[in-house]
Amino acid sequence: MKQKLMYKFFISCILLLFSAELIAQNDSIVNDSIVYKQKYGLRLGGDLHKLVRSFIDDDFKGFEINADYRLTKDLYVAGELGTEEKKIETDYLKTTTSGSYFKAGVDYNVYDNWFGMENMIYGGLRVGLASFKQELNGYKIYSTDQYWEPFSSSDSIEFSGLSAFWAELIVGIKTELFNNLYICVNAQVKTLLSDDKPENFENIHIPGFNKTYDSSRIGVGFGYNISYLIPLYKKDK
Amino acid sequence: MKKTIALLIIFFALFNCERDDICSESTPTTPHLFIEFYNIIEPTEAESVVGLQIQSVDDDTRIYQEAASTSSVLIPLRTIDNDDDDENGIITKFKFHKEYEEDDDGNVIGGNEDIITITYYTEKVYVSRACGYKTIFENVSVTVEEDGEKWIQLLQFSDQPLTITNETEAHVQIFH
Repeated sequence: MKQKLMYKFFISCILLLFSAELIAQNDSIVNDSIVYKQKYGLRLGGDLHKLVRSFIDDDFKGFEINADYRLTKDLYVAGELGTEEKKIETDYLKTTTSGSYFKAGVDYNVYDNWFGMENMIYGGLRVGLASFKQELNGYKIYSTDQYWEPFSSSDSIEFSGLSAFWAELIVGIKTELFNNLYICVNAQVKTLLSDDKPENFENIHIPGFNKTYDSSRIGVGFGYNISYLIPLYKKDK
Repeated sequence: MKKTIALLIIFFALFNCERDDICSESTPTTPHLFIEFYNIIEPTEAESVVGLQIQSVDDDTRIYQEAASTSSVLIPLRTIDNDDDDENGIITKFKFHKEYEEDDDGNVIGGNEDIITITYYTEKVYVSRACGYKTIFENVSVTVEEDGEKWIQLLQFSDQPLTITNETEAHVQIFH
């Protein structure tokens, strides 16, 4: 054990001396050889979670594509485009929400990448816009006693041309798996800024915003994406 | 890094609490017809009915039974229109039996029975995602059938035309 340590110590000393020598001789050239030029380009991908869920969940069909473009070393402009059809059924309500959404914003990388790596731990902001329709497929009247059979309807009523607008905070991790192929996991907190409410009904679910809540305008979401970077140029900053 | 993941997990756990899925008892849903009983001779005085039993005329389903005294009662109204037309609204009839007695077989005997007819139209109103829709009743008219010995002498309504949307105030005052 001690011998190994001694060896390591001496070798480190020698290496140090050598590098010191280099610096003394060549100030100007040495910077180029040890700085890694990072890739800049357009990254395109899709949401795997939504894709898988479309197959295994009978009540959900949807997909999302995402893209981001690097502006500076840590700043990216990003966007998502998706479409969804979600069926919700309870004892008293049966509805279908279908539509598409678009989100745009920026991501900021807070992770200091090691030499040669291009991963991200980021926080970002988005604004989202959804265009959708709600279909009330049926309902049953809620009553607090069982003397009479409650009225129920199975006529479909459609509320079309609805839109909603929200702001979103997103945090996530993006790692490069293979050359230019990235996997990303992210979580979103959303706040609903405005939504068109259908008459004598409400938006239980909004594509892109997910489930709405009675008590607040907050919503949540998460994503599991796989994307590919199309490198356009390299820059060292 | 670990802190971020822990925060995210807590975050999602919090947001999975589904308080919105339960229709609480305090949320007003389909209202009942609220009836209060008053004294016909002293119209401002409340007068309880002793031994009141209320049954539906169609199938004798017992809606209410109280051997002691009753000062007010909530009656459930039918929401399905059996005639399947909106033209005449929905008609529900109830037997209001005062001072009832039961014989050995459980049949109601004695006392005085009056038949009340309630006619109305329904409107469906959205409540919430947990409760769905409720029915409110419009153009409600209540009459008592003449049988020669009515114990219900007079009916008065809180509003004319009567619309029943909640149970905060009595809709009908029965004077006897």
